[in-house]
Amino acid sequence: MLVEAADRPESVLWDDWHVVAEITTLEQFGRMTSTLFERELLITREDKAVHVAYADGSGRIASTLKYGYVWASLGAGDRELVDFPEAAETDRHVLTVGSLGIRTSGLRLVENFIDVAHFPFVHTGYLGAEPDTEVQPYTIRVSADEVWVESGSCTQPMASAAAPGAAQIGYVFRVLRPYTVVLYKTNTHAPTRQDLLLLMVQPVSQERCIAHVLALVLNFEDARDIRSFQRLITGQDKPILENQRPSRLPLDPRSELPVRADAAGTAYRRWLVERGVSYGAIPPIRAVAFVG
Amino acid sequence: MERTNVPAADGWVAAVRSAELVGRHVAIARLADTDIALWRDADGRVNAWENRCPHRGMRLSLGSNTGTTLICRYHGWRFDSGTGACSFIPAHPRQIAPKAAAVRTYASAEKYGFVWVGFAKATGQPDIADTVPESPLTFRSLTFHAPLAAVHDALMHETGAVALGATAIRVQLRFYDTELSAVYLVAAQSAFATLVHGFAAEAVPESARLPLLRAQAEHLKTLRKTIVAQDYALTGRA
Repeated sequence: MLVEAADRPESVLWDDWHVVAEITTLEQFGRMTSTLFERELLITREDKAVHVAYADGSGRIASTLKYGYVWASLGAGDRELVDFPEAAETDRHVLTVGSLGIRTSGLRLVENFIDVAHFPFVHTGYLGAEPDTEVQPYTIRVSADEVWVESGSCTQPMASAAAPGAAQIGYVFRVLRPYTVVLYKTNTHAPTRQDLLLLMVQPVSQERCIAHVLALVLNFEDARDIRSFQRLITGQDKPILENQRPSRLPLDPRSELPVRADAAGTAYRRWLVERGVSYGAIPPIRAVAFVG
Repeated sequence: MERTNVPAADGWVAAVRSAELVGRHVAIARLADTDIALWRDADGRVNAWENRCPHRGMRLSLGSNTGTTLICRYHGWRFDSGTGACSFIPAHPRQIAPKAAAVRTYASAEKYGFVWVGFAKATGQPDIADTVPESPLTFRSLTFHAPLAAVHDALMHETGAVALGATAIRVQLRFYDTELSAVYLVAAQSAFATLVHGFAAEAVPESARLPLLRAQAEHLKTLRKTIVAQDYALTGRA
């Protein structure tokens, strides 16, 4: 193992389920290694069964398969896995659209995912463009242990690989777990229905992660288009995320300067503080009383 | 392993050659464990800023220099030349940016062909208390992975070395049949990394410039090898 047990993250992270591999990648090689919370894992496939174990032979780890991914939990594995009823709709396609390693805290990545203010600058010509940079007021709702960000709509030049052109796109972000977030986005062909884009962050270490993106989409002609579009978008975020300092997400409200457009990020940070998350973060500075 | 702290940055520190701040380039320098973004505005004024956007910690060195402002690459926040104050937040185009939305700025100066960054107690202008040309021929700057004191010691063993304060050394360079006076400037990047700048302290004829620069670069690289070969981390010497 790479680290001492003292470096174990909080239970809210440790005992959760995390994506550690795409099934298609595993099928290709039969066995592969992956890293979760600095622990090296060995993933093997025998007949139809997938096994995940510590690479140093110190034991088997709870694992399961869902939505094209191998999920693992270093804890007891008794947490519920995230579930999306939309995945069962007959006209919907469930597509793993790519995994990209990013040298930053997974928490920074989630905050980036729920931030629309960067679209005109980082995803220019796709998710936004100048001069349409204004972020309309949006609402934040914390319910059932989740953060919901319900935005108005924003003008997007090319919202997806299938988008016919510029469109007003409605956005709802839902943070389910510290490392799992979903975007409900207006389908450009069926305005009453939504496409789902899921980001599942695999925490490799406090300052390294892998972005796994899953699409639950209604119409597509070629999976390659969706994959290359999402790869482009994540690829545009990667150099930004890798050049933020510090790499760990500062949770003290005074360490970075949010504006109203950052209400989603601010709510996410506060939600992490309430859950006692410190792995991959810089915890808030508290007044400490020394006794004796 | 013994660890030493980087010497607290004090006074004027040479960061990059003035010639590196051309056009709309944004240069970076790491001095005293601090990342600094350097950029020249349309009026020729040099800005030395903490390389970190106050909004989301983005490195400003990836931003765009418009000639009057530096635009952050992440959310397009604009920071004014001179003050570092935020003058425009695109997410809220009709609002005045809060006062707190300002980049941390450092004093800057240009002298001896270099851009200098003013840390604590920097006053007046950088001055090495020696007679040197206004715009000298500058050498290529090199980072030595060794503590500043060790690099300073080694440079003091160069031919004709004379210390000009704690961070400048005048030496005699001899290449082929040319002999000339030169000055080295040392700047701590971290406890174990030192930036070595240098320039010719007298006029160099045009025809001698290229051979001199080549020979000097080779010489400095050789010197670096001998210094770095000593394992400071293990001996604990600093």
